[in-house]
Amino acid sequence: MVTGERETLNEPHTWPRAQAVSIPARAGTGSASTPAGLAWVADGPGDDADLWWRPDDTGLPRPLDVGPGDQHHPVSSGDWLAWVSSGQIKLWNTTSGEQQVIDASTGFNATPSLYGALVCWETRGTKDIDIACSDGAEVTRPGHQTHPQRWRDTLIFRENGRVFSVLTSAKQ
Amino acid sequence: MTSIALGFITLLGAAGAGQWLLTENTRRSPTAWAHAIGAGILSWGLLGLPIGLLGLLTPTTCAAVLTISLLGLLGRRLSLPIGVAGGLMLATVALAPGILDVMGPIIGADERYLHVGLPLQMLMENGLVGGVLHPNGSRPLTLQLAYTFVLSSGVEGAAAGLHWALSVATLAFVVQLGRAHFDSTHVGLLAAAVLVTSMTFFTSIGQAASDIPAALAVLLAMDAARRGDIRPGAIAGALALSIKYTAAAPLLGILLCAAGGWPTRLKVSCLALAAVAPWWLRNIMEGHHALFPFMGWPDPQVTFQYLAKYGAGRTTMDFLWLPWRMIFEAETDSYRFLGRIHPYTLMLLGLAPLAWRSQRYRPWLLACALGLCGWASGPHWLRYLIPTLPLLALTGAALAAPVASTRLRKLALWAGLALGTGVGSEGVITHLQQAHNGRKLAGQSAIDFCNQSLPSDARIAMLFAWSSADIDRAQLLGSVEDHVPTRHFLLANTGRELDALRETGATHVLVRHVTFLPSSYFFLDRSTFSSEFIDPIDNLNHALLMGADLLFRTPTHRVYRIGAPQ
Repeated sequence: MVTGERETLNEPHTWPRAQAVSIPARAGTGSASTPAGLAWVADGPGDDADLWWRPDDTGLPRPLDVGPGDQHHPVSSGDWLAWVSSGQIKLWNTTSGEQQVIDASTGFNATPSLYGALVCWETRGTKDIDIACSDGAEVTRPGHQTHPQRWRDTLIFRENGRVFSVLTSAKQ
Repeated sequence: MTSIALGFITLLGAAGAGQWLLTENTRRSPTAWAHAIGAGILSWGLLGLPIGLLGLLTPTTCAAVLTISLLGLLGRRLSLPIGVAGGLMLATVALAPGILDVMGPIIGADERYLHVGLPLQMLMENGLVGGVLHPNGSRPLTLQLAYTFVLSSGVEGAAAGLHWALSVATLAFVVQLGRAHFDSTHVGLLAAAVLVTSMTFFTSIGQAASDIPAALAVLLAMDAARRGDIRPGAIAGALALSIKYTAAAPLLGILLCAAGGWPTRLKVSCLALAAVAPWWLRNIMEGHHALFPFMGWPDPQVTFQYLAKYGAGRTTMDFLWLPWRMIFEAETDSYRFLGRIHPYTLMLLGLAPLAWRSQRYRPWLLACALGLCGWASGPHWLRYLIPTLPLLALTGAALAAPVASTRLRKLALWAGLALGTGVGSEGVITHLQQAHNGRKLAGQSAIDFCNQSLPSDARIAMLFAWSSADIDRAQLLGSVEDHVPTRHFLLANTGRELDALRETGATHVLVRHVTFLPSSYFFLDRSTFSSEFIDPIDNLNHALLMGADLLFRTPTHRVYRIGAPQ
């Protein structure tokens, strides 16, 4: 509830508000939103990618993860936000503040998949690309398995131009 | 309109420089203006070669060359007959729709990777580029250096403006040659009308290209040969060859009937070849075949052009049907001749057997015959016929002139021209609409990404991509014909594609998604097609997945970071 004296402003006037800080998104990159805000990728120095965050409460953009290397591929699920950050996948619950870090050399091709706090990502094997998940599930077989999508215990991925689906609960 | 003004100013500069290379006798001839332009462009090429090799190809140098060339107009005065001024005005009006193209974005594949793309790369490197990493830069670069000089102004359409101005000069020269060699302005006007109503010629005028400049050089050679003028003949021959090797066919016909006998012809040939030789020597000194990139690719051998892809077949019957098919069955948007020409281009030549004995017509007929045979022996795209096209139009018009002796017959001749316009001009309206509306380029967002998000010192390997002119970063490879540079590089480095790219200094890769259809290569057996076209793409995609970082992706293009050599 607003209290206090009411003051008439001279015409014309504009309502006082913070200047919007514009951080343009890097071309071709996606953004990720949670109930708490929006994350997106911006150009960093050189060809680096940096991650920015605009919380819904203030609306003021701030750097979320910047510095040497790429911080990119944001993806969200519910309150959780995940992204790839120079050899790691970082998870952040944007409501509770809980954070997790997974060592994973990924982000070279497709965005990881997030289902709750469960993340799946592409990983380079010795001969080809495989898929690993934070619950230990993985797909390793001849050929490139890319573009993981996780929903409960179903993992969907691409291989040689076709789409496959596996149940991670089933024994491989 | 800045591009158009720059184009005309550059032509004046060429004439200013070129007139000093002509003899007093030639400078007083009515066609001196055109010979001066040709000589100026050739001299810029020969001057640009050492400038480029020394790494001095900067905007300052380019501006200095153009300024000094313009000052060349002050010392001597070229003759420009009133008839030529009228022809130039007429040609300007006739070709005015091409200004839409000049003012629009750079959309032609050839101008993007070669006629504009290569000069911009040379300006970026301050010197010539060449070799297997820049095969397009190993051609004779006479015309491309002229484009470089004018593009150094920073005006995007400057090269197209120069080409448009050259097209105007070519058309005016056609009109003048009708009068000069057949004593009839009507012949020149009819020939010019045949050219303007040929889609292949007309749609080329507003883009930076090499075919019409080569045609102008061939006409200059013919004019000099008929006059028995050695120096301008040699200059024109060298100019034509150093713009487009395929001009050799009509040039041979011109040479065989040149006035002055065999000693003169031999002298002209030697002088012309000597003026092209620096480009061959450059290739040899850099360890390549003299005619690289058209010949002499290092192992693994790749075919530069599969001729069977073009036109409508190459059996004996196909060749017998060729004159009909190239006129009436040509398509403007496919490998089936890729263009249209006015039926008069060949129809009027039907009178040739009656004129073969005539001393006046025989040299023109021989040049036309060899030009046509040369074209038929190469890829059957109609734009490759452009260097011979004005000769064909002029000769046909000259053959028709005695037949159209009465007013009624003349009227019938022009009515026939109007009737044939429907065939010859098919596709012109669509082309002009696209030029006016600004056709959106495939991969524009990838180009924007490279220009906005990659560091200014990035070096981009262009794989299967034509868009050299659009990207303001240093580049290598690029495309020509069946993406030969990319395919050759990948075939030569199978299994170590990324390491090889890093060793060249490339930091990023722009890959265009390309699909080679087996139906387009029906003449290749399955294993050859697979090993030459499919496997290199599969190997590249595997290597990129395993060793590069994908930065940007659209359905048609991808941009990767490959980093420094490991």
